[in-house]
Amino acid sequence: MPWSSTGLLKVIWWNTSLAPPVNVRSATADDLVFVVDYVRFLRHQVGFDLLALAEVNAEDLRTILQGLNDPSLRVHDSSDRRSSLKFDTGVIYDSTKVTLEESRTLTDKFHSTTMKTGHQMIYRVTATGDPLFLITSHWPSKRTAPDGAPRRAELGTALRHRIQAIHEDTPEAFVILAGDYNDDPYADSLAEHLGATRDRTMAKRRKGLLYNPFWRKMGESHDDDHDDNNMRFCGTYYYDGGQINRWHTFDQIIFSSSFLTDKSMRLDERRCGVIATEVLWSKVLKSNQIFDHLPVFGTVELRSQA
Amino acid sequence: MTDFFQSLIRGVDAAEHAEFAHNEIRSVLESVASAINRGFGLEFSVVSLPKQMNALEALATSTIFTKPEKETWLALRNPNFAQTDWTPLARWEVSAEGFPCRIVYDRTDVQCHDRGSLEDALSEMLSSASTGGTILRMTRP
Repeated sequence: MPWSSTGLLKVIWWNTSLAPPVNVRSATADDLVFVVDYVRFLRHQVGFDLLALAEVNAEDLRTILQGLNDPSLRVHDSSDRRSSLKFDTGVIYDSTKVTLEESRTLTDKFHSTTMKTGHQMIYRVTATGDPLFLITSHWPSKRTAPDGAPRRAELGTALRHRIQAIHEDTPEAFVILAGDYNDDPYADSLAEHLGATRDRTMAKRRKGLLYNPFWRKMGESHDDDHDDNNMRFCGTYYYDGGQINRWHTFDQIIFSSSFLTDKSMRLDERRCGVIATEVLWSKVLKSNQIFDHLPVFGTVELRSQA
Repeated sequence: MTDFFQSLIRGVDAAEHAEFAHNEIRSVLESVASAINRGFGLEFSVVSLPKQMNALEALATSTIFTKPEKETWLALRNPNFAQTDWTPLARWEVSAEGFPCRIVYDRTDVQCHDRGSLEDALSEMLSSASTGGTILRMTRP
């Protein structure tokens, strides 16, 4: 029986820069007001059913939720700053579209070093009845774990093990990874160790591979440098001191291959990308501002066999 | 031409590594069991218990044809009441290679990739309030 579309499930990931996983917070009250306003814009103009945020604490999440003033929205706070391992993510979700069933913090230990692999949530999608596994991650910065540091490879491998475990329990599970991996899509941690390919056919053909639509989001946003294309970007994270590139695509939403086949949920890649608006873009480019990430979005088409 | 002999060598080598890892894991768990027994007189073991399901899953599998699925747990039992059931502390998974092994309790899900990290993770689990509460419930008259 053919599938017909019944709606969309929209996922946004944004590293807000409000509360990085360090002891000192540099965000001001005005910065928080900006984030609340921007999330309101994301909800009303872009639309989201799952908004995963990084560099937030419990208070930030509460303030953002209050600012949204929408009774259908709920917050899942997975931030935790009690130990030296600081978790700084949370999710605001539309309870009419998904229901949170389970959540847990994923850590991996190598040689007594503990790493934040991610935070795993299981949502039930109202329209299809399917479980949706969402794993949010904020991996260490290049300052903490430079390129080539074993920790980057270990994180990719560790996350792959987690996804394998999900698929052992739930074959064909719908898994979405959203995060600031502090690595570009081509980095070994993501491409080799996690197995997030740019090739849809390979993702469908080879068991265990994931599909990463953000391989396509690494280049220039516009074809040329004409003045009317003033707001140009080539990534999601901006660092003015970059030696070769100032932009990196550290923020990505990655999909399990079950989203690529004929099932009740299918990736809608036309609706995946970087959300760049003048107001945030101009802040990201200014070194006196705390903001350095643009949000990214991914969309899944919900379907039924009528 | 495929060198089957080299393949065999690699297989035997992998098996030796796995055997070594499983022995290490067993030795760490024995240390935990010994500490718990010494401190509180309780038995600590890896046991197989019926899978904990949510209401929907339970409904979906509640037919006479399905056997309840089992999961492996780290669990405690009071030897003075040997007839009583094991009380689960944490879900426990070991790969065929030994490491990584996985401990899931409360809202924590930790994978350990070597002996030192397994010791760390077990130590954290034992010092959690939920483990402490379980021990108190099992040892109080």
